[in-house]
Amino acid sequence: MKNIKFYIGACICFCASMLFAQEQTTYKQGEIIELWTKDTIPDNISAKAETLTGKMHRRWRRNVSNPRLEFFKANTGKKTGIVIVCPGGGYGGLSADNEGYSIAQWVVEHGMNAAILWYRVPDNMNGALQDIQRAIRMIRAKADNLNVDADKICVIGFSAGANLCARASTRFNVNAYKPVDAIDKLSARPSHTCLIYPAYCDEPNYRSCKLVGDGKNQQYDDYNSTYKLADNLLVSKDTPPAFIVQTLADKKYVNSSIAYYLALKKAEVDANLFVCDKGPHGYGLGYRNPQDLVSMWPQIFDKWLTINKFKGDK
Amino acid sequence: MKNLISLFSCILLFGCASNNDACVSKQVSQKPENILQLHSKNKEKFIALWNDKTNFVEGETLFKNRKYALSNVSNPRMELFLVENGKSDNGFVIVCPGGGYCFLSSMNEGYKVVEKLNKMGVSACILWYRTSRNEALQDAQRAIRISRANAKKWNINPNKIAIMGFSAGADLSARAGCRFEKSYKAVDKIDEISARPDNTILVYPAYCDMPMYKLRWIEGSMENVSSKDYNHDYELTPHLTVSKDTSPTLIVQTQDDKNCTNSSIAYFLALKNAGVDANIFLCDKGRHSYGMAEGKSKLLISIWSSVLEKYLQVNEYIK
Repeated sequence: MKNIKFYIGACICFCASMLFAQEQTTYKQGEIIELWTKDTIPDNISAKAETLTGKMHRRWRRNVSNPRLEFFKANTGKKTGIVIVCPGGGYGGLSADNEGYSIAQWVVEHGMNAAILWYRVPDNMNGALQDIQRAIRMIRAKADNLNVDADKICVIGFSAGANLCARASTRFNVNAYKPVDAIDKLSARPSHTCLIYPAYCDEPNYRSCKLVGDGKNQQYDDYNSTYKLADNLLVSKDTPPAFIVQTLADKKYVNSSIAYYLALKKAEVDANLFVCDKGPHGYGLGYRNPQDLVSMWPQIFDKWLTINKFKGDK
Repeated sequence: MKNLISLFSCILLFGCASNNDACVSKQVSQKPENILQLHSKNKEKFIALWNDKTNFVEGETLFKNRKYALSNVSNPRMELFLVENGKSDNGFVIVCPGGGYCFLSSMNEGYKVVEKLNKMGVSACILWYRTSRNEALQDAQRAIRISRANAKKWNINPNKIAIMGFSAGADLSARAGCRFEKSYKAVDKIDEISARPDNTILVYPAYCDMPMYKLRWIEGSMENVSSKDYNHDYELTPHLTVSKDTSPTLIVQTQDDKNCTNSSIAYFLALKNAGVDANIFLCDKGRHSYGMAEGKSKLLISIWSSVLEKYLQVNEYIK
């Protein structure tokens, strides 16, 4: 009898400590900024209930039909630029922690405003582009209220989220939706682009995406010479300066980063490329693979943002 | 008074000697001599690659009278900068200054570089190579062999010998990293050792893409390259025989180094093609000749020394 009491007590203590530990490592919630109303949202597809599931730090957000920004204020008191974070997930879901909350937290820790874009999933590439265009305009509209420098809007994306950022960066002159109000008079052009292991930016990889082509395997005439940009990416001299990160080990997607870089070089857009040998797809901030050179990308990104005056310093 | 002066000199000397790595480039730059005078005064610091010459810098000159531009090297040599930190299996980096195979840029691409490497905890040397392309490769291969032969004596890991170059020195390093055929007849037992570097580090490399190579070495022009198709022509020169055995590489470059940018891209894409572990850090601005880029803190390229340090750490040159 005594033993059972002891074990029950121990279990309770253990569970309490686990709960406590979990609460300590959960992410701060941000301020929600709605993008549309029920009446104004164009081309909505999914009607399923949204979910956020999985273990902490590896959670997935699915079935987003209420696309929105989750805003995190910089804690320096300065009017800083903003980094809009687009998680990846093949346009099927959103890698909420690894490519969402942890990134936004990093941005705030480094002295800048952040916002996660929970764009529409699953399988709504058009909807996602509408959401990011609307999000950029919304930030501009609310810049004074949010204490954001509207001239410094960096979009950062991971995998499919990076593809979305590339589309936002090269299609800002092409309205993805009919204007719904005065906010849509504002520019949808990001000032800077950051792509981490981007997907679907080279033509063969783009055609192999099931949402675009017929989902067949990518067909390269020459995997090591064909760096043709996906034809939906309209790179020009007005494309925002970029910082692109990738690894050769990410064989399926590496050509996307090279194609985007070479297109920017051709258009004489300021571009920065960091391609390393090792590192899988999906490492987020890189804290779990410190043995790979690519894991230092956040340090370089921080320097780039500082140089580009995102931190509110004169 | 005399005693005070002696004491002060001793303190200064002691300070410099014990903090050798921090003082190197300062010592060199504060001296009134030029690089020729400096080398002939300090013969004992150098290792002759081939044979000892009594007239150490005989026939060597300054390029256009520039104090730190060594030209016409006739007695190719290595200048050692060993780190005294007791870690016996740290790596070793052979530094090849640039200068278009006309001269060797001794400060920005020599002394300042080894100083930075020593601060990271890595032993290094400057390779004062002959500025003719064929002879330079012989010197590089010989230097790699000598480094391996002396691994125990120098307290370095013979399997972590890297060659690092700037501009023409990077072209030299790339060639050392992919051409393993013997470039000279063996002179002694040292030449039985492998001349393959374990890693190569190329900083704003020149002459690696066909248009730039052709312009400079076939047509003999010093003009800027105007590639027929600057944005598609990433053809590697045929003398860089990249294969799966080519040494793993880190390439550092900027987009605005108009003449040379395509060299880095051509080499990187060839390494990708061959399945070699390659890394490239290509920034927007920086131009050319910045060495460790310490004066460029407003540009992203200035962080490249941190990339180098991490590269050396993950590749076990620094434990």
